[in-house]
Amino acid sequence: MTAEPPATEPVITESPVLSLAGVDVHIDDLQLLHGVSVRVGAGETVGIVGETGSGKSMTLRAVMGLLPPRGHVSAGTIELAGEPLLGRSREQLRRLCGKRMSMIPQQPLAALNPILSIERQFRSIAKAHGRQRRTQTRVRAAELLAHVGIVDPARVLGSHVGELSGGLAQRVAIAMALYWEPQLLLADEPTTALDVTIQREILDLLATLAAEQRRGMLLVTHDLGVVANYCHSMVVMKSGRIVETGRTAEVLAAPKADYTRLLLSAGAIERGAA
Amino acid sequence: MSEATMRLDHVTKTFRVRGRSVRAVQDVSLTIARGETLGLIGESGSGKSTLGRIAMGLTAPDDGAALFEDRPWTRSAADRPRRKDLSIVFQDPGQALDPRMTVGQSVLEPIQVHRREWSRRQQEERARAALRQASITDDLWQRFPNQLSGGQQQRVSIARAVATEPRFIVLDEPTASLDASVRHELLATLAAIQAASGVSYLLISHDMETIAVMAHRVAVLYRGMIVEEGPTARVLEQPRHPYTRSLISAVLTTTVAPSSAWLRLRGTPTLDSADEGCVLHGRCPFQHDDCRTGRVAMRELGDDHRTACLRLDHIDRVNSSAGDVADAEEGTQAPTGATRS
Repeated sequence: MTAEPPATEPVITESPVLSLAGVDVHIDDLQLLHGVSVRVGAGETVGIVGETGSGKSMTLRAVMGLLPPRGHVSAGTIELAGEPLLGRSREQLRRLCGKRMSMIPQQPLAALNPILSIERQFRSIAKAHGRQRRTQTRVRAAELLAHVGIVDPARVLGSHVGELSGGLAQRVAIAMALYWEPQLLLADEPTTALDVTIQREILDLLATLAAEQRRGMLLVTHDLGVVANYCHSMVVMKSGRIVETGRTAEVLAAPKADYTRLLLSAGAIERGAA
Repeated sequence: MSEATMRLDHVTKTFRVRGRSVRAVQDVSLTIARGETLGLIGESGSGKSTLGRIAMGLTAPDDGAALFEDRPWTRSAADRPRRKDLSIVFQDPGQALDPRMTVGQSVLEPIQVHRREWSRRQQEERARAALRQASITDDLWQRFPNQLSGGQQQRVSIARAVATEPRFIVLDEPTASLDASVRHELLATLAAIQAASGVSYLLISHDMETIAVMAHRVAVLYRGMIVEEGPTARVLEQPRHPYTRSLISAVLTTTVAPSSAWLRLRGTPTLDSADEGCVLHGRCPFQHDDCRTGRVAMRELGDDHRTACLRLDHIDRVNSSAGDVADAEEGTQAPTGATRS
């Protein structure tokens, strides 16, 4: 039995939510990405898989404008809903990040600020893109926390990240990412730090959130099981290049690239080999 | 495999966390035979690492005892287990290795401590042999950890762990930080070391594949208690305890359809420990009034497979009448995966 792909078909519109075309990334003379092209449609979840150093996180960082020092996009285009992202100033990008696209961290416990209360962090997200009264922010934050399945939003708003479990912290980080209703969610290994049962809950939540507002989602993971169950299409990367891309079910059923086959076999070792 | 290398005998350990006492390990008894790998699975905070530390003599239990080859850690210095006979491999080799020591120095260190009577040359020969066992080539002897890949670093950790030829090793998430292909090679190395030396492993992992490949037997820990124990294939393929079933069915694979297959528990785990009844009470979809107060004993299922659940007969009845428990039972629900309807 092969994995069921998500049942609802995403609408691939004329202008996708996110489009990367022929993106090269260099750090000084070292080329990290070679002609990477990815499209994410409205309501579509695209998975990027690959091993350490394949360039999957670098692709995400290029979209966010968060390349490492001296790193830059040297060729290609990146567009958010048809608008070019490259060539924008840091300030212009900052206005987009968190508002029209936002990122869900790999390690929520590390990504959240340890010395500020959760409510205080919501306030700075609110302030980053507009003016809002404190009470207004508080109400919106509490709504979002409830929306991501947190039973006691008031208590969580008053707490610090150190008092939260990993799963709870990831829900909080997701609620924060949703504050300005972004069209695009970028998630870099959002469940790697979590237990399998919590992983399922968080991925189910992300799938719900993406579907309800027809958001695009780019999900970076090393876990083919995650891709098989939650991504409409997938991109396989190796050494900064895309080696295979396509509908998830098709790629998994009949992988064309040797490297994809290798990843698939690496993910399914026979029992009792020891 | 009758000779016990490691035996945990009714071990209990309580920590104080923010003024509350949290039972990290509660009345756990386990035996690991010579040449055997016991896999320990369970979520974060279930007490896996605490059990590993107790077995190693690094944490003293409040109650019960850890015995290495029938010697408890509590004996006098002359009679307690010797450090060189046990070792541990941690999850993150980048942090476990001393960044200022070369590969050679790292592996030599435990030998110099425990084999002081050996000549320098004998010590170095042993270190090189340990590196070979861990499949590290000689040319890395002078390298520092930051010059190695994650997989190579973990191999050096393994070489260091086997350097004194221990008979018991705790493997605490040894492959969690590695890519799948590297993980498999490393597991093969660990299996080869065991086959050659007869060392026993306590393998702590949340990765079911690692457990499936490496472990002869599996123990499932939930909030400090063992809820199920048995031969690996039995536990992974025919789990009986609701917690084990939830844990195993949550694993995402590329070959099994997800949707209704996940047995989802209610709510989230808490640190509060009830004094009576089943440890899963409050989260279990099959629970009954008895589970709140009743005494839950390990029940033998045959073939060395046992579980601590009062509702087994009920669950079996539900199972045989309805093909899919997740659909049949009140309180369980299919994942909310909204893209699937």
